[in-house]
Amino acid sequence: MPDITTQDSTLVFEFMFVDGDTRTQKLKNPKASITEQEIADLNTFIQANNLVVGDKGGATFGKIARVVKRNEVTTKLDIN
Amino acid sequence: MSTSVSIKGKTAGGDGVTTTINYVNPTATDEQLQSLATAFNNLTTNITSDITKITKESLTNSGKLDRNMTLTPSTISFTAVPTITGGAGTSVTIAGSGFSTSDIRVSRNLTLTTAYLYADWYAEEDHCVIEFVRSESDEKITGEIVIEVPATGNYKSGSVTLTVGE
Repeated sequence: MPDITTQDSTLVFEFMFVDGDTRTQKLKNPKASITEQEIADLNTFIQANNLVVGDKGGATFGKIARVVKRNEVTTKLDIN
Repeated sequence: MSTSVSIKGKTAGGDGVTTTINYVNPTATDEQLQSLATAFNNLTTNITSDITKITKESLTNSGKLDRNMTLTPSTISFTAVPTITGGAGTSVTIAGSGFSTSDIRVSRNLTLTTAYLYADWYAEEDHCVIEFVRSESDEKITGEIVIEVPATGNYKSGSVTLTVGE
């Protein structure tokens, strides 16, 4: 079976909660240019409206701790 | 318990794409969910066609494997969380339960040093992806383990050994 190669661009958010736990949120096909202000505005919007909570015990959202854009080329080899 | 918002849309090329925003407060109103989904979608090039609310009893967990997290719905857990520090030829074994070795596919020519494992569960695509990320720069390294398991079924313990490539 031939290798399967895919190319994806993904924006990865790291949500940090007040209990110190972190969770990730991914967005496919991010825009080529995303400003720091756009992320800050999103962070403020989430905080102000309490829209995100931790899945373990409902911990309060702290902040968007990190945002990483990944451009990935993946080759999947079926070893079976 | 938290809920999710699913954004259905299309790429510029016309392909269907679904984005799920997780860890959403279940008390959020539909209007707030709409605004949240729109805010996230505005960071993408996707064209939104539909925003729907999904309520999940137990959300998937994602995060660093060094937290020894259990991923749902197939309850995959990992007992060994190695830190890879060697160069070419170094091997590391990832052991756990909830999947069998035959479910695992790996990409070849893993090239990495000093990395941590990062796992995420793609609920809508029904598989778990373990990625290797450089701890210093968060840059994704060319290597991936894909564990594909169905949403339900009986699972066995499994493991996969990875060898650092050139």
